[in-house]
Amino acid sequence: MKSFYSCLDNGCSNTLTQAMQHTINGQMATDNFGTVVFYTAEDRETLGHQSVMRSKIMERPAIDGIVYLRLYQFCYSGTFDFGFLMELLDNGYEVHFSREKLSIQHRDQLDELYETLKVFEFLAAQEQPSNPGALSD
Amino acid sequence: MDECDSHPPFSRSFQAQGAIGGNGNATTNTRHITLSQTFENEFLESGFLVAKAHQPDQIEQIKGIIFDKAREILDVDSANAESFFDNFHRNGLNDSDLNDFRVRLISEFNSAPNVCEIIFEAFKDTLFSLVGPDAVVQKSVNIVIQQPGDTSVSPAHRDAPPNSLYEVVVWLPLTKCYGTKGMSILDRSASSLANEMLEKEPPAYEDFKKLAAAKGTPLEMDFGEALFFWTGLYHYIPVNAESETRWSLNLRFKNTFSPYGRKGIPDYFRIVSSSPLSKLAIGQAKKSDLPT
Repeated sequence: MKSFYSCLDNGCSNTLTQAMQHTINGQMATDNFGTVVFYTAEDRETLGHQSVMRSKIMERPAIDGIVYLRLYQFCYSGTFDFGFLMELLDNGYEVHFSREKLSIQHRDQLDELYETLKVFEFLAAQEQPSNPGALSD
Repeated sequence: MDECDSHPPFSRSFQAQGAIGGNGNATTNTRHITLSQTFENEFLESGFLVAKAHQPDQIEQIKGIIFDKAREILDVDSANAESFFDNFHRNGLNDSDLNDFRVRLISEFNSAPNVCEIIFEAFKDTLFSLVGPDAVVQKSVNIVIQQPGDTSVSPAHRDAPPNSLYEVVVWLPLTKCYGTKGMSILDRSASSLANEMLEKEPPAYEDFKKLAAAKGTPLEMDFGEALFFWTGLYHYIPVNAESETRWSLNLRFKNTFSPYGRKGIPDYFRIVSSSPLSKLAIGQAKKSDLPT
């Protein structure tokens, strides 16, 4: 049984309550042969930098990966944070996205998905509010 | 005027025309594909058109995949796909079993390699004309099975919103469609009237239902043809009063970079085709985003 961190998205908690996000990410963990052993979420101020998750990863937890609610959590800064995603993968962590039913388990897969993620970044940038902390959906 | 231009688009299908290259010959690799001007105008006017597959073998391949998987799930012997599909109701599945069968068939069909790519290739000329070479496709193709007398039909509706108005729906029958064994669609003019009725406060829904029944264009189509329609059009399938089962597929395409509705990428769509220019631009960006 794999173990995952669950990273909830405070940027859309007005629409999807934390309880709903737990259920969704928990199911994604199950679908990927694991369970959630710990959950966290960024503060509104750290959404763009993912400071909370970066700090947790620096502790090198003995987990198999992270389940995010959605890809947009990598776009709060205005561009897709490929650097942090690579860091997670290079440290041996799987990265899963519940909304998109998307799993990235190694760096080669990131290469294959790059075009799709770049298009996602392009589209996300068009919807980017001036203040990410004010996001409600 | 060529032969295709003389056909009304909703009763006869057409082949998209390849514009002539520099040497005067249309070639597979270099031709520039466009809908003929007449059909482009017809699509703008009505919001839909029926086109034949440019690669019929590809559509036969799709039909074969579904035929094989359906026989396997039902554990029945049948040598003839057309007869199997038309007479599917004779298997006597109840509603629950039929739903289980359909869900499993959709799952297994979409697990088969490259089904969306095969459909895209089959109608590539038409799709290039409608959405361009940068195209995304719905990740999961829907399969609809309408047995004779089945009253489980969706009321008239349009896909956008919540889908984007920049999408085209491809409706692909696996069986011959005639009479009530087909689909009905309201053209742009009738759909506009329908919008006016539904925008009233309260919505004039009963009037809308009458309008849909009166103005819906029933489509007569053969296997190998597909209906392409704008997501802003209302459409519905009547209760199948014929003696044969109708099978159809539906999926949606749009330009990769046009506005999305509530269904985005990669949650609902995935890339199926990229222009050379996009490949260059994305390749350049990748060097800085994913340094080796």
